[in-house]
Order: sequence, then C-alpha cells, then structure tokens
Amino acid sequence: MLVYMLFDSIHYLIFLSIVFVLNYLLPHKFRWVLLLVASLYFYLVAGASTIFVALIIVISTFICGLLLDRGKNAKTKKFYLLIGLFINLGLLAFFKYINFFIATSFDGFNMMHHFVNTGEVFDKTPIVLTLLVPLGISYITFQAIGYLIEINRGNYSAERNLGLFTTYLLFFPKLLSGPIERAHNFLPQLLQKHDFDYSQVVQGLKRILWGLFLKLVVANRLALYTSAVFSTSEQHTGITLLVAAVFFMFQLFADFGGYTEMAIGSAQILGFRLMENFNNPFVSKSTTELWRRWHISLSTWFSDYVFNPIVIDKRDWNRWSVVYASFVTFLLLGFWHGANWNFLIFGFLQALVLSLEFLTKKSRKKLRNHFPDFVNNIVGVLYVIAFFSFSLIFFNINDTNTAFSIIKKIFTFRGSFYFDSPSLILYSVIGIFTLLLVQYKREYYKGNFSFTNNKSWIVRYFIYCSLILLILLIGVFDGGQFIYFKF
Amino acid sequence: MDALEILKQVNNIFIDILDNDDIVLTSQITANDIDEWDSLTHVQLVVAVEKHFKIRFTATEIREWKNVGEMCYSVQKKLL
Repeated sequence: MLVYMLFDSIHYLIFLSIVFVLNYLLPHKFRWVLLLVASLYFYLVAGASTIFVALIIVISTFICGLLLDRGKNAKTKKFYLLIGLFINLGLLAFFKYINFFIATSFDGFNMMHHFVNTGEVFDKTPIVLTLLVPLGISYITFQAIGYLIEINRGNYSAERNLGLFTTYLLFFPKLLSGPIERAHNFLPQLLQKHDFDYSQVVQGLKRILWGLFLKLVVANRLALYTSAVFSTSEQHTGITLLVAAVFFMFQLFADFGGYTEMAIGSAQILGFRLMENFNNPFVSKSTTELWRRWHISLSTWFSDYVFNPIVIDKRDWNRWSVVYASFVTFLLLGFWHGANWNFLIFGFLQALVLSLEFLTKKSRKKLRNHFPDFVNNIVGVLYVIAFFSFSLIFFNINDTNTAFSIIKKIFTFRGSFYFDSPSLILYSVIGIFTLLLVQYKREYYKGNFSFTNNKSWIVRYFIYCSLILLILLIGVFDGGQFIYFKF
Repeated sequence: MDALEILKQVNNIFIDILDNDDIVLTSQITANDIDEWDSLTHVQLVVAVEKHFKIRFTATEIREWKNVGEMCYSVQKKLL
C-alpha cells in the first residue's frame, strides 16, 4: 500500500520547512540539486518500485527531446516525437488502463460467444493485473508529451541538462496532482537566482494556509456527508441525493483547489511560480466559461494539443469541426481521469453541453437581451451548478448502474431529507458559503479592502488566527488522501 | 493588396462572424481583447478569412499567429 506524504500531514510540513531553509542557505547554483534530491525523496516515500517507471519516462523523454531538436528534417523529427509519445502513452496506458481494456475485451468476447453458441454463457472472469500505478504518472507523462510537442513545433529547444529536466518533471510540489506545468515556464526558473523575498514567502504561506482550510474544514467536512449518502445511495431519497451531489461538487473543488493552493504556495515559498489551476470557477455562467476556470492546466493542455489541432485540421466542416473536436477532447479528458466507463460518460456530458452552448450561442444571446443582466447572471450560475453537479455523479460513483439509479431517484424527490447531524450540515453550508464569498469577492469586488493583504496587521493576523482556529476546531483530520491523487 | 486594405477586410469578417459592430481591429489586437473571440470562434474566423481571400493557411501558420497583424501578414504573403 502506497504511503504518500500528504500535503496536510505533519511529515510534509517538516519536510517542506527543511527544504525551505536549505534552499536559501545553499549557493544558488546548487539549489536545483537540492530540489531534485528533495523531489526524489518525496517520490521514494511512496515506494521505491514506482520511481523506476518515472525515471524511464524522464530519461526517454530527455533523449527523445535531444534527438528531436537535432533532427535534420521534419520526417526525422516526427519519428523521434512518435517514439517519445509511444513510450509515454504506452506506459500510461499499461499502468492505468490495462485492466479496463482487458475487462472490456472480455465483455466483448462474452457477448460474441453468447450469440455464436446460443444458450452458452462465457462465464470466465477477465484476468486482472495487480499493478502499482506509478505516482503522478498522469501528470508526468502529460508534461513530458507537451514538452516533446513544443520542441517539434520549434517553440522550444531541448533541455541539455538531465538533472534540470528531472527536477522539472518530478518537482515535488506539483508531482502528485499537478498543475501540469509547461517546460518553457518552469525550466528557466530553475536557473534564475531566487533571493529570499519576504513578501513572496508570506504570500506562499498564505496560500498553504488557505489550502489547508479548504481541504480540512470544507472538503473533508463535506466528504463526511457525501460518502455517508453515496455509499448507501439505495436507502436515500431524491432530495438527499440531490443535496449530496451538489455538496460533492463543492467538496471536489475544495479538495483539489486546496491541494492546488498548497502546491502553488509550496513552490512560491521556494521562489517558484506555478501556473494557476482555478480561476473562481463558481462565478461561471456557462459550461464553456467553467472549463476556462476549472483545472486550467489540464484544460489548456487538451486545448493546445488536442482540441485546437483537430479544429484546425477539420475546419472545412465549419461549426461541426468544433463539435467533433469537443467530443474527442472531452472523451479523452474524461478517460484521463480513470479507466472507467463513468469517466467517459462524464466527458461525454461535458462535450454535449459545450457543443449545445456553441451551436446556440447567437440565439441565447438574443434571448438574454430580453432580461436584465442580474437575472441572466443568476440563471447562468444556477445552470452551471446544476449541470456540473449532475455530471459529477458519474465522476464520483464508480459503478454505472448505481450512478444511473441515483439520477433516477433525484428526479422523484419522494421522502424526507437525511440530516445526519445538524452541525455537519451547518459547517458544510458555512464552508460552501465561505468558498463562494471568496470567489465572488475576487471576481467582482473592485475596492481596496483585502482580508489577507490588508494594510492593518490586526486584520491580517485576525484572519490568519481565525483560519488556524477553524482548522484546529472544526477541521476533519482523517479525511484521507486528496481526490486527485488517484488520477 | 496593401496591409491596410487587408486589415479593413479582416475587420469586416470579424464583425460578421462575431456579430459585434463595435469591433475595430489593429495589428496588435489579440483574442484577449475581444470577448467573443475564443478558441471556439477562432476556427470560424480562420475559415471565413480563407474563403474571403481564397487562400489556405497551413496548421503551423494558424498556430503561430500572435495577433491580428500576424494573421494579416500571412494573408498578404498568400496573395503575393
């Protein structure tokens, strides 16, 4: 069983503190070596065997990058690009998806056998390979693939230092769940001199604190309710399942958003800038807008390397090129999350709604002109929350039949609401309200008042102490790993 | 056709496709400057420009544009 160094663990905070101190004590030219050693240690905590796969990805991508860069013509470059893609996607497919492909193939053989020999049932169960999925493989391979594609496009030169390249791919703050960082954003930072910058360190610590709050107070608290309801979904009424579905959406954001805050904050205190992964997603008024604000590093990766190339290649289909590209992109995006039909359904739903929004854009704009802006905004936000919560049922529930039965029950609305305990519901609602307040303030408030960046130290320290107290008093500390670690 | 005339015609295409009469393009304008211009409408703009000028861009050319000016420059090169 893998033991991660969870971001919300004392082990991680001690580890980060040591790396922080050494980072600024060491001469600048040795700092990347420290970060490499720290990242390898961070990886080894999860189990030595999985690092072998990660290093294969690192070394093969590094070599392919150099060969690509030196390729004399487009054909040679494409050859090395394909080798690199084959290795990365092959390892990802093998470790993450082999059991899905085996099970799906066996289901296909089962059906074929039944039709050929009527009355006989092919009842052998498929072989299930017990594989340890290498830590962070989804994120490492996507960064590696993006790196090779950018070299092939001529936008970037291959990195010639294997140590620097390894540090880029395995940098511990982003190793487990991203952000999926672009090489041309990160690699130059490894060579820049990062003097101790008090304001940057403080900003980084604030992000870590906010991330801990999101994970321990909001996400883990909501998880108490959602896991209780969804694990016994057959016993619950439609209204309970509906509320649990909406709670899960906020739980997912608080969990993943909390991890991201801690990842970006950890990098920031070391002097590094990682890309943002969320941009106030709950202010979105359409699913199109949501996917510009949600898991940005993944959606922009798919946009640059899947969606846009398909749209350009099929542009003679006009608007249907966008529809086609949307389905391919979001089916792959859904599948990236896991080897399960439910994730494909999740992706399919995103593509369907995005396509409908795209095809009806002009008519919806005409309709909106009949109503005041605030009405359009409220309807838009509620629509996004309703659709995204609904689609996340497939994201959350592994079994397709169970997911469909939950959806069926939601539309019946019979029976009373499952309260569990009043304090659980109260803290959950307060957590969601706090989260929304922060997002709406960041998005719409144009004034000078700030909570954590207030000029008055009294206000700032009141906020810090409040967050810490809330974490200690109502934080849920046995909430398990971050949701996105499993991807 | 000179650069200014190309820009003027591309401007009309943008107004038509993005359904916004207020668009006034300059060579420095990017998708960040126009609300309706996103990755979804971008392909419609490209197709409309290709059809209007009866040219065909490569995928590399389309990908490398950083602003309207570079798009118009690509048009100008194709028309020579």
